[in-house]
Amino acid sequence: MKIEHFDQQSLWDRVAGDPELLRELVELFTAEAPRMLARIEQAIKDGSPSGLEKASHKIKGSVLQFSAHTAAAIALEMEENGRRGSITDAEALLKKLKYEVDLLQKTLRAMVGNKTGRFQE
Amino acid sequence: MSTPVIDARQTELLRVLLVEDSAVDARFITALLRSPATTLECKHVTRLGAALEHLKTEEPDVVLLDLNLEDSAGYETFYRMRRASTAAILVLSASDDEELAIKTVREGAQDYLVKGTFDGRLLLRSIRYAIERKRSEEALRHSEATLRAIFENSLDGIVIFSGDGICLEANVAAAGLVNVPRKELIGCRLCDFCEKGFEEVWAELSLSESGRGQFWAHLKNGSRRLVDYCFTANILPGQHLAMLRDITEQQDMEQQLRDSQKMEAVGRLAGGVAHDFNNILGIISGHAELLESTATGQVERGRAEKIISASEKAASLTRQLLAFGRKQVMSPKLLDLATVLEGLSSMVDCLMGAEVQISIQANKHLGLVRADQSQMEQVIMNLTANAREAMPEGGTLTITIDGCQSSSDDPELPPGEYTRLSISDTGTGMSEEVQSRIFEPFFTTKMTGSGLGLSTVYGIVKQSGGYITVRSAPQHGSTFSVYLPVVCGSDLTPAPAESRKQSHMPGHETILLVDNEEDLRNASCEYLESCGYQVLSAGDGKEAMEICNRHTGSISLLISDLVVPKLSGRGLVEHVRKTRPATNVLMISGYANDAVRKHGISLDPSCFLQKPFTFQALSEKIRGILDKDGN
Repeated sequence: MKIEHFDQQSLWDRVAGDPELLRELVELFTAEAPRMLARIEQAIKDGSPSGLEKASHKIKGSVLQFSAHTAAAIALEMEENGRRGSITDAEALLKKLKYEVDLLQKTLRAMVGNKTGRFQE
Repeated sequence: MSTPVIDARQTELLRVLLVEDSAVDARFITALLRSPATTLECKHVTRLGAALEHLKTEEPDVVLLDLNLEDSAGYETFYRMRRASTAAILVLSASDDEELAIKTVREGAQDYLVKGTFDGRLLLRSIRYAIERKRSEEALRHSEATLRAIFENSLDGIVIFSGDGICLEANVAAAGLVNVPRKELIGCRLCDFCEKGFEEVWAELSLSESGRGQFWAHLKNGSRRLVDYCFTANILPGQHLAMLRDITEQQDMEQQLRDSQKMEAVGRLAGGVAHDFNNILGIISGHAELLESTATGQVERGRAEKIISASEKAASLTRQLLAFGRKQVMSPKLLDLATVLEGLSSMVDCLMGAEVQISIQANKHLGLVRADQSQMEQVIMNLTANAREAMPEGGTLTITIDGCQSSSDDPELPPGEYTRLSISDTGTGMSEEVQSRIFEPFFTTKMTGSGLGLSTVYGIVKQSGGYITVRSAPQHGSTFSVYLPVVCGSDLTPAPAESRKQSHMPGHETILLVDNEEDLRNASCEYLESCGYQVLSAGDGKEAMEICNRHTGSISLLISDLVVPKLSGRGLVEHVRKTRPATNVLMISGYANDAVRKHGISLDPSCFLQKPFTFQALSEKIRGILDKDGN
């Protein structure tokens, strides 16, 4: 099975099929993700495009590590808006991003719950 | 899975500095770096400031650098890292930003990796490549720095130019050689500085692999330099190399050496010819003098006088040849050149005529020089006559005598103190080619000249231990400068000028005359007997010795040629001095008096007479010796 938003096979390849490592990374991400999202929220509240750019860029790097391309694409759009000095669509994009991150976390938790270490299609 | 790259370094410990502020990303990367084939030591910091601090104490092999950190962002992060570290830098970024990637790589990043797009194998390989590339770059940089230092500091000119001859690079020496600033030379064609026709040579060279040769570089200031070049085509595709060396000075020195060797050779030849010729002249003039003394008729006496006068002219010619060959008899005295010039001033006036203005600036008391007065007079007269002939339409003749100090870097004049005699005209001047030959005997530019005037001057100056230079250009006149070393300060007094007296000097003493030239001996014998002397004559050294032993009476004077057959002049002199210590000696020779010393005979210079001599001179010499002896 291949989920549209997220290339699980590619992630397994990148952690060389190591479930312990993946678990560790998932825990780190679970701890960090709310903080990263909060930074974006704060930037929107402050009306700071450069803050938006930086915070979006950061979360983009992390979701890329998990091969979460949909989440990364949303983060990139926010980052580029911020670079252009625009925060108009930010609220809507943040909502979409939160949804994607939430989905990613659920999927990741499911993956580390599977002790075989390989996700079968 | 084996990595096919750089196996030899697989076990080497690699030190990695990871600069990443995202905990997830950092953990991901440290996890990717785990490899059973690689020993890797990873230090992780989250801020650039901490990274720079770490670099102060430790130099990693590679820096994995996230550009967007808490304390620095974007290109700035890379720039500051590159300035702080010589390690290979791998940029890790969440942005797939082609422009930034190219910019950082161009500025020295070894790679630009986008997060999420690489796995462990790719990252390790990228690190290994980065380190290798960095090492090659370092090696290249060292080599470049070495070559650059050689290029910049080479004493030879180095030029790199394009296929169409445009200078792409040139070092300081090359620019100095053609006397233009370096930035002006770059972009120029080297051919623009070369003699005409060299363009074709250059074009031909570009088609060959390499070549060597010389060309004349023409400088903007009008001067020219002889350049030795070594050409190598296509050191890079379409780029040629030329090494250039200025050999103008070397060429000049070689030319000077060749010139002086030629002059030496001609001098020896001239001296040798003059010597033999003098003996013949002696016979002619001797017999003519005898003819004159015994001639009864006016016609015969007149003819004898003509022969004598012609012989004297011929003798003066051989004297000049001997002077050039530096074999002329010299009577050097301490002279003040200004005094010598003063004595000649009326003659100089006569010689110049009305259309030439004369300016004389002669300082007395400059210090004395050791030279022969009549020779110095000849030098002044010859140079003055030369100047006059260079000014057929009139002009100004300037004669100066001043002091001059030569420093050690003057190639023409050894260091020391000199008295300088300069004679300048405002006449036609001379081309370089003429200047290079003017001191050669028989070289003349005049229809009537003998070609001996300047060669005589040259010979006299050399014989006097001095130097002569000429400065001239066509239509700009000429200046001859004679440098004579000052032998003592101005406080010494010069020798009194010579006076010449003429008188018939009879005698009665016994003279032993030795000369292998029979005709000359007979004539001399006849003349001496006519003066009242008892003459014993011998044709060779052995015969002379026998006479010396056999003769019972006294012999007041031995007159001998320096070179006589069977027993050398020296052997004869030694025998006579041993067996007849009271006998005086007078040596005669076609060579200069220093030949006496060279033959190993110690003799007072007053006891020497140079051939050809008149009998008048001989009788004066004899009386001078015998009267001093108290006879």
